[in-house]
Amino acid sequence: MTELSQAREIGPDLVEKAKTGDSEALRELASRAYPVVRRWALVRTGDPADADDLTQDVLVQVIQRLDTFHGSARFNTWLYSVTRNASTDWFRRSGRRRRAQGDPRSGAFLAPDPPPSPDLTSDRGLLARVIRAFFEDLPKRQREVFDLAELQGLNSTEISERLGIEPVSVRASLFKARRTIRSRILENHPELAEEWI
Amino acid sequence: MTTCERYRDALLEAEPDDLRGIGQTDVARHIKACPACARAGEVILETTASLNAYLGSEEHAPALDAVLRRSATAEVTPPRQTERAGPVASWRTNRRWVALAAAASIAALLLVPGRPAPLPPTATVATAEPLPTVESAPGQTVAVFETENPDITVLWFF
Repeated sequence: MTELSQAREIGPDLVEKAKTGDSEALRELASRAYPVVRRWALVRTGDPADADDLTQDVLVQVIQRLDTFHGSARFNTWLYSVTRNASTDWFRRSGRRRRAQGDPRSGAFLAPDPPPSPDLTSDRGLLARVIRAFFEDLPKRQREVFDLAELQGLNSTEISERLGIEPVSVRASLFKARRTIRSRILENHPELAEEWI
Repeated sequence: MTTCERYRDALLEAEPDDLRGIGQTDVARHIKACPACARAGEVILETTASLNAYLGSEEHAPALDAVLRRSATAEVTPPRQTERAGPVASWRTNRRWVALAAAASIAALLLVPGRPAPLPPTATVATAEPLPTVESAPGQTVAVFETENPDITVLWFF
């Protein structure tokens, strides 16, 4: 696990304190869980506004069900499980709502536009294409694995626990996702091909 | 295929440290020796880092007050079976053992004289008709299940 992932791990002491109903501990727990959950929600939904909505739903469920977490696994593993299940319900509800409203996007996956960034202005187009590839070309499982392994640095065992799949499937998904994303990156740098001997 | 064409394909699946030229793998050694492939590795890592930054960015501060208020007043959603506190079990591994344990218990019930064949939980005890006599081949065990339909009997050989 990378240092970033370790820093984002929510420790058992805070969880136990929050379970007693301590309002400060609950707020601290929600505050620390928020960025973690939001990232997973964004990976699963592909839309920042939807990710915000889903994150709120997840945090409410987490606080309400804190008593059901008994500490035999890492809290973040349980948190991920709540997020995944909530996102499944959310997709079902939002698909129904969109269909009812005649929204042509119902069931479709929307890739977001990247926010403008001064560091990325010269490569904004490339980043936008890569983000779209991430959300549109990768199946959900590969997207999750790529985020957890390649971007957050979790190892195969940790990922297999979170996703409920075998470590060998984690590796297979990761390689496929890498190939897709990296191919898209290199396609957008034709000058590199000219340099190859 | 040229040397770089061969490594170009390897770049698509290589570990990040290999792309940085760290370590002693073929890819890492080639990256150290080839400026073009090293540049490709850099571009891949930089763009991936930008994707990481995008996913981790938050446009709005979390509405924690709203979350805490909702959690106090909202109806409690019951947890799903899959939200267990412990590690997520590997169904593919465990179901083999569950099936073996089930088979062993059923075999034990069948082999003990005088005991009736076990019924699945939704089945009701059939009325008059006796169970058919079923003999299994040597080295095999058979379980006989009645169903609610008297014309249907389930035979499980294992």
